[in-house]
Amino acid sequence: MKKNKTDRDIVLMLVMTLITLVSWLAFEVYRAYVIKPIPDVLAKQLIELNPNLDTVTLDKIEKRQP
Amino acid sequence: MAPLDYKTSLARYRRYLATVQEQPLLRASLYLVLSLLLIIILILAALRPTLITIASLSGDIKQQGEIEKKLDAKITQVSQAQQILSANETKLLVLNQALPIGEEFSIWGKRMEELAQESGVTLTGVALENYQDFALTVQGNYIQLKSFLNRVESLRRLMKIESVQIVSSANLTMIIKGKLESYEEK
Repeated sequence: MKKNKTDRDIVLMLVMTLITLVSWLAFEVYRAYVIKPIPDVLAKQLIELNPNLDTVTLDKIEKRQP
Repeated sequence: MAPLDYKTSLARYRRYLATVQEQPLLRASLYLVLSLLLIIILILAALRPTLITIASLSGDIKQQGEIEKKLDAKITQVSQAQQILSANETKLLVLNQALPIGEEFSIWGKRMEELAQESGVTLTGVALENYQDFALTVQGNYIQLKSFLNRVESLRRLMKIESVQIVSSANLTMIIKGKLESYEEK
């Protein structure tokens, strides 16, 4: 009876270990998938550029005395 | 014929039953423990590095796709900007006059002298502080001073006029204080 209880404890401990291990693995896989730092130079190149020129203001400046 | 020792037989039978009852359970438990241990070892040694590598590569592919999209958009924006720039190239000279790169005080100072001559006022002092703050002192009559101030205000070169002070003495003296704007490359 005592041996049975010991066996059950070992199985329970192993199942818990397995659950912990699977959770840890899932989190690590998620981290590996999501966290990707973009290099600084590339981040600078990715900044959006507004191609429009404010021609109204340019015209106003042009009309002023040089 | 030997007498039947039923008590011993019963005891032996009970022991046998107990063993038979226990052994399959013990065997099943052992297999279970071994299987669990094997799964744990497999997860640690084989599955974990493989899954992490797959996830990492998959994340890389996804990120590179996003970067490619952004870079495509940036290329379109740059080519649009280039077209607009070439179409308005002549106007950019005006922009450079309004907001020059660097201070370019000498050009501004000469222009102030010219404006003073055009308005008929005497430029008695030009002071510059911190490469930005300026103070102009001019002398003349009221109409000349007003004309000079108008010309300074309508000048293409960007400047902030913060204060204008007119002091009455033998001649009217006007002190204009302000800030000269310029573009600093970052």
